[in-house]
Amino acid sequence: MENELLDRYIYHVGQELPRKRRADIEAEIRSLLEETLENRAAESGQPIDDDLVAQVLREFGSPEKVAEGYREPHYLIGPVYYPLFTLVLKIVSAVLGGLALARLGFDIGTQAISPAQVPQAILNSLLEFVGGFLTAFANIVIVFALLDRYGPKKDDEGSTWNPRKLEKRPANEKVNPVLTIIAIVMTIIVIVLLNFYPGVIGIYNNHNGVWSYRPIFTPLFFTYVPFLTVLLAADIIKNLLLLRMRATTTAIRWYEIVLDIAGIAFWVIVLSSDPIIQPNLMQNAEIMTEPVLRMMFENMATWVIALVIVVSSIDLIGNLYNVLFVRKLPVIPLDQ
Amino acid sequence: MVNDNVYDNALMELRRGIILLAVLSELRQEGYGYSVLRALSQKGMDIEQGTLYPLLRRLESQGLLESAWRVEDERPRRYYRTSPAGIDLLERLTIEWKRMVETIDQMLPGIGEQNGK
Repeated sequence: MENELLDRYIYHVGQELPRKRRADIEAEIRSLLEETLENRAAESGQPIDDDLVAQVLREFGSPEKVAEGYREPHYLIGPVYYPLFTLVLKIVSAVLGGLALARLGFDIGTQAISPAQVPQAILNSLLEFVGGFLTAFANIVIVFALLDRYGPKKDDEGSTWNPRKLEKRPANEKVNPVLTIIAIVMTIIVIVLLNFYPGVIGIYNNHNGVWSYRPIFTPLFFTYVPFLTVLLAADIIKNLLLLRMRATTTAIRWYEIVLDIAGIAFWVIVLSSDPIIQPNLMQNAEIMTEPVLRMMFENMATWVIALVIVVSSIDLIGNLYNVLFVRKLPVIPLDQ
Repeated sequence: MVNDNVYDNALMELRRGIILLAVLSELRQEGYGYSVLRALSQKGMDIEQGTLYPLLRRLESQGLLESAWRVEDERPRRYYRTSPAGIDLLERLTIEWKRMVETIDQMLPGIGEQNGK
């Protein structure tokens, strides 16, 4: 049977088929279509023209749909390996992200770059991370595609698995409301002091009945106060959320992650800038005769900020680990 | 009311296994794609061509059907027949099918009669 439309259709189905089976399936489809056309023409008294062919082909289905029926289902990474694939991807991206952050922190902290270069350094780290992630992603996909094709398939444990050996569910971390409220109150006090009574922050000394006062912070510190206020306010919001939900949820953890990163970046910038504590603050105190203590006090601000950065980093890693690898149970809100 | 898409998908799931039974049963006598389609349709089982023809190939690759090209009425056709493995499967599934129909019939008294479906 000669019909251009029919030939075109069979050609397009064939293009979607694996080469090995193409000719055979094409021949069968042609035979089936021709038979359908002849029978349809005989039943309706219609000639076999383009109209009839188009009608029969429409019933048969688009070339893609027909070819799909003949193909084996195929995928790069199947359901057996997919969960492991996503786990490895999460670990690798967490490690790459952590490395990029650590390097950025190190560069800023060791003053390898000036504060003016910080935005550029952040952008570079981000680009480096994206580049590294894409390379790692491609490699992981290749490894898992090979594993899926040639690797061992997981045995179906069937009825041999033991329900009693199922791992315990992770409990949501309960929030202590009293401590959370105390934290909120303390944070508010700090915000009020820094913003409205900066003059009272200092060291008071009573010498022979005469009070003297020395401010702790340098004027530079007060240029940072607006940023610090935003961070502290964000911390209050986090604590209010904790009180509302009664437990640390995944959403709150993501919020904490953003807060941790912002906090670390803020303190790294402060650390790399000029001193924020007045020099010779403890000059006259008797305790300063001890050289070790003197050195410690002179560098107090650096030590405290370094400690804050370390604690925030540990918190950040803990939160990242938690949201990426630990599945949380749903939380029942307070009012239910 | 459930929408047509959900209905179509549910119906397709329901029919999937039944079509297998119908095809294995029909091809105890040799036939080719178009003849199977016509025969099943005449018995009240309408199957889309796009579903039936690829299914024949899949069942053949699973060893449930046997096939061969032959020219008849000046037309080359691929003829299929249920293999011994296919017959064995058909017999076992038929026992299971009858049991299921009995069970499900007891569970669905009166349902669908008002809709006429």
